[in-house]
Amino acid sequence: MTTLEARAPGRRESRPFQYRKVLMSVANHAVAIAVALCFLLPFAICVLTAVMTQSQAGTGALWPRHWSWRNFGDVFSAMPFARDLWNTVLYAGLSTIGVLLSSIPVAYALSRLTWKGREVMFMVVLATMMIPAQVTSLPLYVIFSKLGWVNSLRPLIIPSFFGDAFSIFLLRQFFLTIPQEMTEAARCDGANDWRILTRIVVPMARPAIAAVGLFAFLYAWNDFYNPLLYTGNSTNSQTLAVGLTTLAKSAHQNAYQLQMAASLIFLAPVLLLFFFAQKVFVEGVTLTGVKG
Amino acid sequence: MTSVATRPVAPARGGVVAAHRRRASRTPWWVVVAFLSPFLVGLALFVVYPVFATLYYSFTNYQAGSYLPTQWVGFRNYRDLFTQSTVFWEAVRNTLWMVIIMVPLQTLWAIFTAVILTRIKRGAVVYRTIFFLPAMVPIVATALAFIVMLNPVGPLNSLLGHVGITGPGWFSDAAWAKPSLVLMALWTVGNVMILFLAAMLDVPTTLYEAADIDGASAWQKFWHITLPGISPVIFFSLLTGMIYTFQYFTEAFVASGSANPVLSSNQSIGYPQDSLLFYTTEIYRQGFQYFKTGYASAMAWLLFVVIFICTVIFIRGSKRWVYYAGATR
Amino acid sequence: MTRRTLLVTAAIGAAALLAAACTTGGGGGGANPTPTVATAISTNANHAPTTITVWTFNTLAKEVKAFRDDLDRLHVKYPWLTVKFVPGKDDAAYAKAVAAGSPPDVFISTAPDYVGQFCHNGTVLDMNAYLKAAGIDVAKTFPQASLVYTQYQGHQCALPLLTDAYGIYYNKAMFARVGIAGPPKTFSELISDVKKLTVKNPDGSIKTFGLVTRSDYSSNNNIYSGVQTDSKFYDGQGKATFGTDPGWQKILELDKALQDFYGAGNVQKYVGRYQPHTDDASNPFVTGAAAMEYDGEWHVGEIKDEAPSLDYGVAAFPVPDDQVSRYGVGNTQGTVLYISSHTKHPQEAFFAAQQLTTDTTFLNTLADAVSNIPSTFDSLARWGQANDPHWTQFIAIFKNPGSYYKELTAAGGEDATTWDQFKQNYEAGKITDLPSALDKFAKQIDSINKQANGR
Repeated sequence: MTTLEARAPGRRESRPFQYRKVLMSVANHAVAIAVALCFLLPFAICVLTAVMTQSQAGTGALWPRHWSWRNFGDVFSAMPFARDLWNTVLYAGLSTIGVLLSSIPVAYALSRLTWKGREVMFMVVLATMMIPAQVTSLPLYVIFSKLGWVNSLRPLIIPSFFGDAFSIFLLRQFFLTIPQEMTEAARCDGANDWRILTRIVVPMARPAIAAVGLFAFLYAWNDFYNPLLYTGNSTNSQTLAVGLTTLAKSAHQNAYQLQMAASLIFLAPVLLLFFFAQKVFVEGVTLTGVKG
Repeated sequence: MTSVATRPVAPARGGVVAAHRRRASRTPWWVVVAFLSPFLVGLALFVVYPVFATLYYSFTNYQAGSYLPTQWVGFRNYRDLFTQSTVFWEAVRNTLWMVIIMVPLQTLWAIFTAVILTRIKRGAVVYRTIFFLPAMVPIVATALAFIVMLNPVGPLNSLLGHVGITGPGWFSDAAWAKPSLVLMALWTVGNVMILFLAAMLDVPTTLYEAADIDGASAWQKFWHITLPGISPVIFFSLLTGMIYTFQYFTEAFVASGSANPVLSSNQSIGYPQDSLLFYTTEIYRQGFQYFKTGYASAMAWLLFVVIFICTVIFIRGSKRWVYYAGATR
Repeated sequence: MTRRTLLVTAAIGAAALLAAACTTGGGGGGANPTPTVATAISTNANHAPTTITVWTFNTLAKEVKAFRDDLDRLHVKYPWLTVKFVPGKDDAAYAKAVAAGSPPDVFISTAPDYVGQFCHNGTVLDMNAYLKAAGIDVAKTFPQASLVYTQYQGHQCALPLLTDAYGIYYNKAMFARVGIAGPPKTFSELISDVKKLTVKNPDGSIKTFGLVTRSDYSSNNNIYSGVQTDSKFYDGQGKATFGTDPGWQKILELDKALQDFYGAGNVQKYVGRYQPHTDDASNPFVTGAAAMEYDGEWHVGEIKDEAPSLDYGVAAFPVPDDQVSRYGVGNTQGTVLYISSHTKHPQEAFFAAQQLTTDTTFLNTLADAVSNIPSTFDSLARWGQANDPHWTQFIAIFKNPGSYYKELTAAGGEDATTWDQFKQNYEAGKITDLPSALDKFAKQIDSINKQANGR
């Protein structure tokens, strides 16, 4: 951590200066604690409400009178939670595989192959990231409904096998850092590009691939708009994100304890993933090179 | 943003001096196409076709699911949007409100929390985790949790009541509904905060030491050293925040009508009193509830054009205040 | 951009536009593929086992159970007919299913708002041929009030299934306490009664409200559908009357007068607090936080469950002072049943529809379960609740020849939803010049209808 105050070597601090430093430190910590409490408050309320009974949930009560742990079990009968969970796992898992399978070759072409128009194509990839979903969803919905795929997970999963701009961007950034010598040597040995990709580049890029896979998985897990469009009306294919909002407008609209319990189960895998894969996260963030 | 330039090739084995990249083997076009094929097909199917199809729809009165034939209507949809629809302007106003107010606030708050983290030595990791974790929570869960917390007769108002403040109606009160969304956005600021933190730590300490020798105050050090140093992240935060907020959907959709669960889905969008009516939720209502596909397509294209123009203007304007360390000006 | 890039982009764009043009166009089958001659299944026929899907709007547990039991009864009486029941679907969900190409066979909607639209764009079956084949004369079976909102341009696109009437519930004890003899009949009486009934706390907040009329609260939007002031959404030529009929302004000003009396902040607190509890035991009328409330007739059943000893009366909503002879009219609408036009089982679906909407036993049992009014002459005559003092008021409102709903249009519910937004803006104080705003609003509604009809 940087210390913002410099200290000339050998100088002894005078009493007022020491006193001021302690005061500063206390002030810093006080502010930090206050802000931390603000950040923790919604979590706390969510958890506490999740174990309240119906009579207390959603009122001004701050502490449960009875600890109703059975809410977590009731969630499974109040909404098709197990099925929604499975749909979410299916969507997140398959689309991650699809994203990785399709983005890696594209990133390779954009970074390790030489060809005219390479940078232009990269700009095109970046440009697709800026297109709002609304501009593409209307015709896509029409096409998917003509195919009969609405009310299933297919419109969510299948497009991920055609490359994802953000993943391509991240992977390309990483591939560019691999020294040329590695691949040149293999090329001189007569290997074609596919072998170079699979035997050399991919094994070297494991951290980046892990980060990209993680981001893709989280994106799909948290996705709401597309599941709303394509599974919002179905009985069997809803993902958890959509299922939770259905719960909030159903007969359980005032059963806030069930909604909070369901939300907690929904966000638990994400937090667990974060804790176990922190290093991967940080790697991914530095890949964006945003700091300049 | 960054692009790593290709590096000059070191001499290969055998003493042969490798030529400059350009003259070296150019990949045959069919190999390039093969590697790019997933993206190219996806581009055609999921980007190019829909974008142009939306443009086409916007000039028709197409209604998906209707059994009546579609007709060309020219600019009528656009004309109706601009002259005949108060809902359109309400949606535009609300969206602009969010872009102008929420995005800068988020950036400021991210900087503020990052500064706090730089000044804490003990337990920094704990604080960092606490500040960052909310950004990991799925948006739907965040929205539902805030709906519970901000219930007019709920826990937060009860807490405020203990210290003598009467809490407002939050999501049930049109004047407080958007500020409630801003609170939600501030809670989930962790992603950008981490970037600011990393950038602040990257600012060379020698600069601060020099400033200290010159007797600069903490505020002066922040304004003249830290800020320029993190300006690329400020740029990134404002740009992505702006693009995201123009398309702001999930939070608004879940919170709309949460205060009145018996409303049908057509009526609950924007509730209370249209304060949560945003551009994208109105597109959703027109396109996926009323199924006025042509009309919604016109709205979608307008959004596309506006985002494009704003992005270009913003990027151009940023050259003046963004400072890249090591770049020549 | 080089010329070549420009040409390439143009070529790609043209190809995409061509592709788009080829894929739009109306769905297969054209509008309203109804046969002009149809055959009906008779009740003692030995039919091949068929399963049909029925979607309904219900979310409240009590109503879901009532409808599920109703459909089960159908299966018990006609074992060859199995019904797959899906509750919790509103008009938007149905439209989505139609657009996705997989609608249910039968859809029961909470209100008739979309009859015009679904009829116009061919989504639902015109049942005239089937009714004829089954020997049903709708004019002799269903009261005129319910035919008005199920027919569109001569097509019987929906059937009424239980009806709703709206009026004021008033607390007799509170009325007696302040010396008011009976419910208010005119707008001025309403305002003066509210002023007497409202109890304020010393700190300025309100303990008991007279009647909260804010349009987004509970069912209050039905106060403003025009019937109280003898106003109609559309005139003879189909043009909106908001700018020309003074009744719209009158009723909005009544709302504002009441709101100003309470203070907008107090009304906001009331709405924010009670909105999620209109149907449960924390309802403000039931708990005494309000002396009057405007609601539909199903609330009678809810009060019976929640507060059976509450001493209350039911009356029609007041009318303007100069229209006092019209007093007794109210908003009347109801649940409607649609059959999807491209269903694979039109005969079986119609058979189910016929039984559900015309069989007296079915209707009365369902009406009792959800506390609605049965919708055929026959069932009304035999209804057990018909003599209950609360129900007689609602039946009177329903039978009053001056009661109506709003006209159906091809724009579906969009005109009513846009009117909701106008009212909310007015209540929020965003509209200063009401007459000119109403004028502009009328033009907006006309353009919405033109879009929907505009062929």
